[in-house]
Amino acid sequence: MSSVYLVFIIVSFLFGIFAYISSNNLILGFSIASVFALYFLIFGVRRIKKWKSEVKNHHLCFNFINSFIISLNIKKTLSGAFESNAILMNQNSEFELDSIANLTTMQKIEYLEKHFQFHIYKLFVEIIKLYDEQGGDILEMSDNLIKTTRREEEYVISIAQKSKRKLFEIVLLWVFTFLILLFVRFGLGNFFVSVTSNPFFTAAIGFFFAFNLLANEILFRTVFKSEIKVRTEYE
Amino acid sequence: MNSFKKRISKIGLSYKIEILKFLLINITGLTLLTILFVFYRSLYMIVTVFGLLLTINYFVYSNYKKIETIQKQSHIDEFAKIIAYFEVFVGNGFNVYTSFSKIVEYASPWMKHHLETLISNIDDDKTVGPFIIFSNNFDNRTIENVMVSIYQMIEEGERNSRLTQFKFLFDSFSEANQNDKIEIKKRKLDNLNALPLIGAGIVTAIVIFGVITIVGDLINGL
Repeated sequence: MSSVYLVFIIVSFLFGIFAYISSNNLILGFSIASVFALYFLIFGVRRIKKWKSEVKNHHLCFNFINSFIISLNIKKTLSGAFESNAILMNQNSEFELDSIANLTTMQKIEYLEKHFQFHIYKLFVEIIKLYDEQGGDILEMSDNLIKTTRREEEYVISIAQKSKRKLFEIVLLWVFTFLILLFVRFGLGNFFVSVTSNPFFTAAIGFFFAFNLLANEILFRTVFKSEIKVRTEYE
Repeated sequence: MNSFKKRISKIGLSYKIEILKFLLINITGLTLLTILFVFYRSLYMIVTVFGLLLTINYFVYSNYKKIETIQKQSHIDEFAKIIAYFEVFVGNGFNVYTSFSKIVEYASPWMKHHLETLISNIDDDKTVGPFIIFSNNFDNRTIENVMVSIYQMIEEGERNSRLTQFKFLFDSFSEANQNDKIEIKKRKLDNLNALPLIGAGIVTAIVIFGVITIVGDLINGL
């Protein structure tokens, strides 16, 4: 995450320089750099963190469900299957499995709902409950669940890839937009010197950066949204 | 009931509050227009405020359509979720009726209401009717096929072949629903392309404004 902080600080600094050289106004340049830095470091980082954690958790949930079902099919007991998967869970310290050592296996599985707030995990818990109460063939019972989890995992990966590609495209388009501003600034130097004295021009440059800030918010909201089916309050 | 009132109540908003919102926006806008006309008589300002008022009205109205589309998709998504539970129960030997009764507890109030109606209709009507009525609540034809296949399971005593048919249909429905969602996300991502283009437009407008100002100054200087 530290590289993200660094990138955001550099981008904010660059925006400030762009605002300064295109308006010849130091206050505007400094204000824009500060506003962008605040926005990126408060909202941008938070959004990326949330998105990353959701995607990571979903991968973990997908792996847990699949390997648990396979282990259960082989070992035929919930405790045996859970023990096999405890190594996977222990890789992530936030699960604190040691603190729930005294719970029954079913309670441990239910406890994990706190971390895996996905629809597929709730479905998994219901299947395991049914298996625990009535028995049956776990592979047959979880046939749809396995298909759903695979489909959702593919969906999450596909959305993440498409979002990253689009982010790159948009950043490139913005770079070209800023290059237009830069070419005009240095290509028509005399023209710029005379026009920067007009306060309306400074306001227009401010408006351009305000629009850029809004565009960044829309971009972050769309790109860093995992679209994973989470559990509803009724489930 | 007029179509606007119907749309508002369909998406669960209060008709009175929405009308009040519309009136408030328009009365404020018209008051501002009157003030501008009486005190300033500036055509430029009046046209700007009038344009702004029309734009606000358009966005408020189009927002209802957006909410309606989101709700329709979320109902379809919930159907996919709830039928996944149904499949678990029915696959583990529960009959259709008991499985429907069991999945009610995982449903939202909207879905709960329609599921309860379906269950009570199944009690009274042993035809495919209640299943078709239930599927009419969704804007997706595949749901009708899924519901008909559930009805066939009752008709033919939850035979394995019917269960397989239902599973196949439900699987296709889930797959299609997922693909639709990927398409929606792709469209949303594609729409983002407009933002840097608008940005480039603003830069061009700024440059043109600068050129015009300089040319204006030159002409005035001559």
